[in-house]
Parts: sequence; C-alpha cells; structure tokens
Amino acid sequence: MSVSVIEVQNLSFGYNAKPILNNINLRVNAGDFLGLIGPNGSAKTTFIKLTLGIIKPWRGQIRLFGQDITVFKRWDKIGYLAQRAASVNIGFPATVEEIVAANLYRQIGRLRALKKTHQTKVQSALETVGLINKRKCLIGNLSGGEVQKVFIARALVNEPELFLLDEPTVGVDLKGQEGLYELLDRLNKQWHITVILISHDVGVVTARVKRLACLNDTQIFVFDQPFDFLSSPDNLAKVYGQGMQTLIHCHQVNCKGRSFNA
Amino acid sequence: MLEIFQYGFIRHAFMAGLIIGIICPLIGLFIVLKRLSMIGDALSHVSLAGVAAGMLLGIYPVYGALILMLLAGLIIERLRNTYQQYAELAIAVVLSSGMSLAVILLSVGQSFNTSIFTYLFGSILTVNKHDLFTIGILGIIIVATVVFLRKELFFVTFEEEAARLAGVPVTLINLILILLTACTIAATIRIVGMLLTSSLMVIPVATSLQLKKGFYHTLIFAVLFSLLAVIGGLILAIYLNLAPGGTIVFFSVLMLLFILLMQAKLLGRPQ
Repeated sequence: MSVSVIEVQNLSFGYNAKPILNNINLRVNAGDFLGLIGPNGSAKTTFIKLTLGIIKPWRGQIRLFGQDITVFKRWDKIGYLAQRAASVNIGFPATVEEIVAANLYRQIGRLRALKKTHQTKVQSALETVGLINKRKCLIGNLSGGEVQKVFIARALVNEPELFLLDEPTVGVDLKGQEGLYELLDRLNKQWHITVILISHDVGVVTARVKRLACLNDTQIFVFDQPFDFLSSPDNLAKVYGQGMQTLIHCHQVNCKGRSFNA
Repeated sequence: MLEIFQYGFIRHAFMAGLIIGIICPLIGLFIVLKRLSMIGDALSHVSLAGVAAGMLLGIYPVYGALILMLLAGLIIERLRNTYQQYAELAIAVVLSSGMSLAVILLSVGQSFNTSIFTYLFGSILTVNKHDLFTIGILGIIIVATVVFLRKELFFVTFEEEAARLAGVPVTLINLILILLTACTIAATIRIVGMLLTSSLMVIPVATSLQLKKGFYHTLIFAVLFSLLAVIGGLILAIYLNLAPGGTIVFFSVLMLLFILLMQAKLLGRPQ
C-alpha cells in the first residue's frame, strides 16, 4: 500500500459561521501529482492552508506523513508556493540567493552563518529552476516568471517530499508556464516529489496531473483518471455548473496520446 | 577641531551619537521594509507622554518614555492583528492616543514645560553619564537582538506566511521588532529629540535603498549614512550652537538628495 503524505478526514471549515468546506475526505499518496481545481470561492486556497496548519479547522483530522498535524514538526519536508508569492514587495533589497537561503532557517540555526553545504543546496535549487546565473541579482530586477522561479527554488532548497503550488502561473507568460509545468513534471517523475497543483486552467491541469480533485459547494470530488472529469458533461456541471462546456470549449489538450476537445 | 573633545559633555554626546547612529537604521531598515515607517512617529508621540509622566512622577523621564512606549508597542501589535487589512490604523490610533495623553500631562505639569523642550528637539549639553549608560545598555540590547535574530527578522520582513511555514515564530518576532523600535526611540530622544527620531530611522535607510544592493549590504550602508549624519550633525550643532536633532536629520536629508542627484546624473534622467 502506498505511503500517505496527506490524509484529511471529515474536515469542516467556514467563515463567520458559514461552512465553506464540509466533511472533506482526501488522501494523497507519495508520488502523486494531484490537480486541485474549482470555481472562484470554492475554498481551494483555504483547503491548502488548512492542510499546512496555517489556519485551524472547525472539525476533522489532518495527518501529514502519517502524523497528526498538531504534533507534526517536519515542515522542511513540505515546500509551498503561495498564491500571492509573485506579488510580494519586489522592491525589497534582497538578492535571489538571500531569498532562497532564508528557507534553510531550520537547518542553519540561530547565530550561525551559511555553511558551504547550505550554499551548495542554494546553488542546486537555483540550477534546478535555471536561475543560477542570476543568483546575485536583486529580486526587483527579475521578470514575473523569474520571480516565480525564485520562490520555487526557495521551496525546493529544503529538498521537500511534498510540494504545494497555489496558482503558480498567474502573471507568467505562455513560455514560462510551459517551462513551469515541465519542471513540475520532472520534480514528480525524476525526484519523486509529491505535487499538489491548484489552478484555474482546467484543460492544462487535466493534461498534466495524475489525479484530479474538484472543490465546489463545500464538497470535494476526486477523479483517479483526470479525463474522466473532462469527458463527462455531468461531472463538469456538478463542479462548475451547466455553462462550463462553453467556458472551456476551445481547450484542446493532449494526454497519453489521446486528444480531447474539452 | 579635536579640542572640542576635552569637554566631557561633548564626549558623552558623541559616544551617545555613535550608538544611536548604529541602532536607528538597524531597526529602521526592518520597519521601512515592513511598510511601517510611521510606527516611529507614533511611538515618538507616545514618548512625549512618557517623558511628561516621568517628570510629573519624579522618575527619570527616559524610563517613563520607555515604559509607555513598550506598552504602546504591545497595543500596536494587538491592534495590527485586530485590523489586519488596515494595519496602519493601529499606528494612527496609538499616535493620537499618545499625543492626547501628552497634552493632558503637559497641561497638568506646566512648570516643567521648558525642560521638555530638550526632549522635543534634542540637546548636547544635557547628555550626562546616566543618559550615556542608559543609551549604551539599550544599544547593546538592540544590536545583540538584531544579530541574534537576523535570519528571523529578514524572513518575517520579506514574507510572513512563508516564514511561518518555515518554522519562524512570526508573532513573537513582530512583537520583538516593535519593542526594539520603542527601545531605539528611548535611546535617541536625548540627542535627536522625539520630533525627529523617526527621521533618523527612515532617511538613512531611504538613502541606502537607492544603492540597490542586497539586504546585508543595504543594512551596512544605512548604518554608514546614519553615522555620517550623526557626526556631521553634531559638529555643526556644536559650532553653530544649534539643536542637534535638526542638524543630524538635515545632514541625512542632504545625503539622500546627493544620492538621488547622482543617480539622476548617472542615469541621465530624473528619478
């Protein structure tokens, strides 16, 4: 049986007494590449923040790497790229290297400077995202896509086993998006990192991920075969409403040799 | 020029000036980057109430200012959490409260209104050994804390959510930063005066940011600019018999203008 990385049981949460997630159950196994989609306001980001312990649930249990989240300490096993990562203060006087190294906080320890092993990790993370030549650049001198890569490198510097990305392609051009998806594919297949990708781009996500989870109306719908979701009008209607077919009509996606007009 | 150092009060003023020249931009960089530049002003206004309270109660006014500013720092942090979308509201509330309290206390103790003048604009003549000792202790606490927590302060200043996930105790670090700001102002008011203290925390940082360097280089340059301003400002204050708060901040503004003009010249366009 596959090792569970995230296990969510009967999770409920809401704002101002109004539930936005109700009795959610989800299991993500090691090596998974899960796409998390849903309409605006379906609590995708909230769900991720709950699984990371950033916000506390009303009810339910969350287990990370087999441990209850309340006692989980190995946060270095988890890399997280927040939705608004690219909109942080880019006028901040920090180099690419300084930002990536900041995430080694636990490993370096207080009152200690970066050692050679830490510097090697920073370089390795920057090589992975293709920014090694820009390590001395200020973050404010980079393009939107490059800034996003810096944050990916920051998440990767701890060599995480689980990587969560919340809308990573916002503000990134098509070429940059393609590079990002290829990188995630490589991380999942070659580095065996479990990836959870939140996105609005249903067509592209469906083509890239191994499993698909859809959040809508406080519920979660999980599809072990992503194209089961796209190929069924009932599924689309259940998650996005009747107008969805028109909405993504022009997306032609290829997956495993099959072509779909979604 | 060195003959001025034969006077004890001038040595005290310079020693105290060098300490505040280091600690003001050290804390200022973090509050500027967290977009909390006005926090210095808010705490300075509270310090006026603290000085007045100290004089009324017969305790050392800087201690009165420090106690009230630490309390105000706790309130600001609490209000920042309450009004998360309007963090600057916390600063406005504390600034107004501090000023109103100061006005009330000054009205009650009208007899000490002349001595409060030295706390408003700073003074060289009044820096005694007790002041120097207090400034020295506060300086050591501030520098040691920043060195000890530099990685946490950097991460929290850059991005709180990521820092929290990396295991940094964000709430505690934010609280420590505000308390350090209160300590910095308490150490600075004797020389620079409460009206201009926050300027010394902000302007050398603004100058250093124009150099567009990495974080630690920006910090070092901010301290250098600040030290230059303090030394230049003190010399000017001594020879022209002016209030040092004004001359120090004037010097730091001149440096900022110089850097901006140099950049405009180098780039061939106005900045």
